[in-house]
Amino acid sequence: MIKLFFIPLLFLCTLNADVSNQMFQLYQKGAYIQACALGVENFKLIQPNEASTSLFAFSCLNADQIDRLNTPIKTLNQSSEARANASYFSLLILQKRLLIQSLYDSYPLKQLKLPASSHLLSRVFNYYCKNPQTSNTIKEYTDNSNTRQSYKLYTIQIDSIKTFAIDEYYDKILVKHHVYQ
Amino acid sequence: MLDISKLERRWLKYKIKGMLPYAAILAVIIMSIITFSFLMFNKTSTIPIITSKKEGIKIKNPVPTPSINDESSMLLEPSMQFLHSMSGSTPLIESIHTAPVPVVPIKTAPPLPQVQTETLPPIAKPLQAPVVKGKLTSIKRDDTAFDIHELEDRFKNNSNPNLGLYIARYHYDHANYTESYNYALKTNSINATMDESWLIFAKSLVRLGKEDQAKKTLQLYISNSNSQNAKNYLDTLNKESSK
Repeated sequence: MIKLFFIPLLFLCTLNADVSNQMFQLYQKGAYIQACALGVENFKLIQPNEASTSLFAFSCLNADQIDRLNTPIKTLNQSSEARANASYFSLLILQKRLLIQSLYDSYPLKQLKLPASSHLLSRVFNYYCKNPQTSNTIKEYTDNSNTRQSYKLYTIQIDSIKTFAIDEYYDKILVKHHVYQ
Repeated sequence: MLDISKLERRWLKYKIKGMLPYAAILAVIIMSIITFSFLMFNKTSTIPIITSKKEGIKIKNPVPTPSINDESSMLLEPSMQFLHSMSGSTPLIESIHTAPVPVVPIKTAPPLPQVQTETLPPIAKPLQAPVVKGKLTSIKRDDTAFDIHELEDRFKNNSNPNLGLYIARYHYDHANYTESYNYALKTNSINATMDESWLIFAKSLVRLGKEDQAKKTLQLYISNSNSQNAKNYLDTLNKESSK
């Protein structure tokens, strides 16, 4: 009888460890899209482990798939570290949503007071709040801490989903193109 | 004969006396609710109080709240501690932190002879063994691994010296001195007037243990461009070697 209980449990634990290991390896290689997709597919397995859930969330974040953060946020609540990460992800989701609303519907954000973070989305959000450049289709901002670094913010539609893109420039060279989904 | 009006007054007084305890209890309850809610409101309130003044409406914040306009606003930072528990059998690679490259303004200088690049062949990429330490080491987050390859491909196609300089700087910052040397060399051969590229080139040589070659290169560059930054760096190298 005990065997009947322990064998499936052991099997589940092995599966969970396998998924976590795969995700970790993908994360280290920088294959964030694949790591995020793996987390989505196996979320029920990794859900009890907060470290794996956090890894899944950071993979999605690095893959610019902000909306997928909604899933891990719900389960990141047991440790203080997990709660801090949940707040961080929530902030980024909110900032993304507000940016979309503001870019498409001219929703004013100037009076808004939110915590900041060092994430690119958060930094550009703050620059946008200070100077929305309403007359420009492409909003250009220069980094305060490094003047050689600049960003371009503009709206973009992917598969009829209205979102925005941020281009990172260093010395006017396009370094990275982010499309937040 | 009964005095109706007197009787009515007495009846009213009697009624009021009967209602008095209930009214008192109700008053006490209302007072306590008001007091309690007032106390609670004072404790948790972060809503700004708007006070109008002569010069216009000003907003006062009773409790300091983070502001997007405030540079020193509250920062929400993620915790990456969970990665240590994830390590398991996978060894963690310590990230290499190097001092950032000083920002050097690009100056225009007469082009250098092509011989310079010919005498310095590209260094073959050595096999890099990762520095593996114990479990509690930080992880190397290769965030831009794909982007740098993309940039390298773009550089191969368009030979943009600014792009070459960026790649050389990136590799130098990531302690890939062989790569930074090679990209700085390529950049110098495309545009020999980029101060920073020559400096990265010389610094990479120093890091690769070829200080003499770095000095010779700097001297040659100074003789052609009279670059102050190159002079300063050469002086620093000479001081260090004399010590």
